Amino acid sequence: MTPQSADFFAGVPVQVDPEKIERELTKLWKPPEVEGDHPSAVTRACLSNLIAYLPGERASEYLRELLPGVGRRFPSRFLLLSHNGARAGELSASISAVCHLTSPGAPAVCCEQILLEAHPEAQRSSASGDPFGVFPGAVAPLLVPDVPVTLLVLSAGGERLLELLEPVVDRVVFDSRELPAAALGRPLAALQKGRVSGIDDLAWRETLPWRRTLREIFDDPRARPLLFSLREIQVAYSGVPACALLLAGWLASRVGRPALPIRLDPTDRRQPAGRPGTLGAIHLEAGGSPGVEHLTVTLSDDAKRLRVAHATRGACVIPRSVPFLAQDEARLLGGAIERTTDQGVLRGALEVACRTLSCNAEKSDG
Amino acid sequence: MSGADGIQAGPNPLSQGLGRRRNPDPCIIVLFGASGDLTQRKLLPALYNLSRSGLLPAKFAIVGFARRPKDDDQFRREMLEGVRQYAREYGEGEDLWKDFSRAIFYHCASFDDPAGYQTLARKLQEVARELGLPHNRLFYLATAPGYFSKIVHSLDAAGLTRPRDGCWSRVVIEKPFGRDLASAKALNSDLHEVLAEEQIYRIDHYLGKETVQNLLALRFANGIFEPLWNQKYVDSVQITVAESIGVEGRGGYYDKAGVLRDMVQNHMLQVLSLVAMEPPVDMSADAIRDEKVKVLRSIRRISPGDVDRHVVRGQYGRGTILGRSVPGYTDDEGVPVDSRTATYVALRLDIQNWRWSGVPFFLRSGKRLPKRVTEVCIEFRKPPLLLFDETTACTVAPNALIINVQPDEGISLRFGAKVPGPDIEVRQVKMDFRYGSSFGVPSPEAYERLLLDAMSGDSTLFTRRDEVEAAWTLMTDVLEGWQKSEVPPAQYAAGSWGPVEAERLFDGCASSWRRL
Repeated sequence: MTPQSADFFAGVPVQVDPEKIERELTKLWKPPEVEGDHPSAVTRACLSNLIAYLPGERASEYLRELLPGVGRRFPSRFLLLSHNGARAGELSASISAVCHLTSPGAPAVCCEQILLEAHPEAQRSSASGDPFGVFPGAVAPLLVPDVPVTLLVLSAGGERLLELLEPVVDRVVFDSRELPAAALGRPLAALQKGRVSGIDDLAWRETLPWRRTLREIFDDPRARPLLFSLREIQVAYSGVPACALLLAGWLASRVGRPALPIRLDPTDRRQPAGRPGTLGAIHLEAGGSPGVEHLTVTLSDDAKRLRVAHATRGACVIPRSVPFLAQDEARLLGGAIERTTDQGVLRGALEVACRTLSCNAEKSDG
Repeated sequence: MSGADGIQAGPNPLSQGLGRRRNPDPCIIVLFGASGDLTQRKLLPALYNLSRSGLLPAKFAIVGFARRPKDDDQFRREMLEGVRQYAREYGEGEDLWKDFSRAIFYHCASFDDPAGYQTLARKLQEVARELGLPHNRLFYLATAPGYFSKIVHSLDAAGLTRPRDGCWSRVVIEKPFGRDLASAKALNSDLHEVLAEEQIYRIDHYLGKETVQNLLALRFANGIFEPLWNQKYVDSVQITVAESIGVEGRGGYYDKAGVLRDMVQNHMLQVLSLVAMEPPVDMSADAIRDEKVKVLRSIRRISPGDVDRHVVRGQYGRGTILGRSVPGYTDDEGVPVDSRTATYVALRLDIQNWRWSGVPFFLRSGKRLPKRVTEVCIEFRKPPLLLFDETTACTVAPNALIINVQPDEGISLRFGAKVPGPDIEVRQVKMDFRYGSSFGVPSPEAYERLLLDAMSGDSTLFTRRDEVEAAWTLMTDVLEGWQKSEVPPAQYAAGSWGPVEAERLFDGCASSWRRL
């Protein structure tokens, strides 16, 4: 094994000529019997392409930590784009492997990460054209054929890339969790345009355990009267309201009541380590013939369980406490790459969420 | 739509986009044979992992039923030990165990004592009241087969098998389900005296394995395989279930069963029927099982007089595996020295239908073979004309699609490729798909899937009465033939691939047993 390939498999970026990336990768992946001194076999795997633009050091750090976990779940070719290149007017490139062991003694399973960096000047000088214009031509030949292409949109740069890469992208995953709630307009706009078949949002993925629990409660037909006589949805959260809006929007849209009053309560104090914010509780108020009914799903203080409590007369809800399977970041993103979310359901949730936002804005303006 | 009782019929509007699987109804699982190995090694760890994955019902309870006196706490401690050792995922000190174990109870009674079932009924009512559970019950019979009928009838006498208040009552029966056709039929009739067929879940844990289920996906979710999946393109099919372990002190039990009952009648014929079945009209349990049973009924029966021609049985002697000397079968304490029980069997089966006419299905299974491996190999016909140098082309094996069920789950395609160079030289190469490399999530244990399905009322992966009886019809012929035959089981050395006599099943065929 050459020092270069040792670095590559250890995950250390190997600088390469951007025009020779595939050739260099082929060289580095050369099977051991040809090279003769490869210490252990590895399996090269690729089930998708993931493209992400890194607007700054924070995003780079986030993805550096995240990608090994995503590669473990869903081995992919990671194409990372940035404006941190050293050479003006040129792209620079580096490649590294992202490996994991499936079981002791088994060969490591590896996928590859390609970093393409344009010079910061390209970003600043709008006079010289589109600062992102350099990327599509560099990305297209590097996409692995026959597997899906996902674009992760973390920031405004990602949105510009979406416009440029639309013809080659199959799925777009937004991350609205740390942005102002108005950012939910981005996935909604992408859905309305309808040019990409799979739109997702990590904020939407984050609501999954809540949606599953609510679904399960109302799987019991005896509980459904409450669902169809909802009068108000209230969601307690901490941090940014994107998840809270999506959860409430989902419920309102699924019961066919998009104008249902939604109240957001930002006072929840739980904030699991390393997470931008969290949902704390959802409270449903319903008004059936027997009187006002309530159902509340609350995250326990240790964020390990969801507890269902109710004060109902017409509907039959079994109180319960279910494990809260918070998904780590790699699972969230891996899940979004792996499975396309139901576009109609997401669109319904986003429409209600955005309408609620504009209503709230009008109220505060008024 | 709301009924007079306020119940909203129709689908749950929150289900769309959240997958087809819904969590099972709240229920109580009663484990008969709670002190046994299966409960500690498989069932409790599986239930724990389901709970960990959030797949158990929101409310549930587990009641262990066995003869040994102990209290709830002692039973919980024993089960924790099992979870620690055998659960796919367990983190020491997990809070989850605390919550999970609160729903575990123990009921001490003898399987033979009717009063024990009356007290069980009272205990289930208490548990249900305490935990706010409806009357859904899943009775899991992890006991010796001699108790199956007795337990079910006693449950019935205690009023526990009849569904009430819109709730369900189901019974899971472990293998072996009978020891020949007559006993299987008798057991079915016995069970049907008190249970409807849809209440009976006959378990075959092989069907819970991901790769076995993937046979359906491979065949019916892809367009490229099904057109080739017939006598026009397939030369033969080989199914191997090899174990490297011997009887390991369980010789007393094994000697009464043998490999045909232990492996072929259930696991191997189930795999064969999934390989050979016609496409079902839909993916419902009965549509799939209808097609599987047709395969079993299409297999040509082997008359007892023909058994020695179509079936080879063997028994392992002493040998070495991975450099370690291992004893022979009759060296085991529980095995009579003159035992004629087969520890290895190889069969050639013919499926007499339009799809498979003329395609031999070779099945083999044995203990103390060189390694543990289960695979299905579909060997395709050679090209009609060999265009390449004959000596070269002859070295190329026909194309084969190999489905590895365990331990390295995946699918391989074998084909010929040109060796780089000035000459046309064709060499055999393989394209591999491995579950471990392509999917980063570990496969659930077979029992996890099967327990979940039983709780959810999905019987697709459980064997139906007619399937069991069709499989026993075939194997009882072989058992009777062996009883009459004067040919003793062929001896093979532990660590070898079985007796050489098994090769003669390929007489008249171009292929032979695969070296795995």
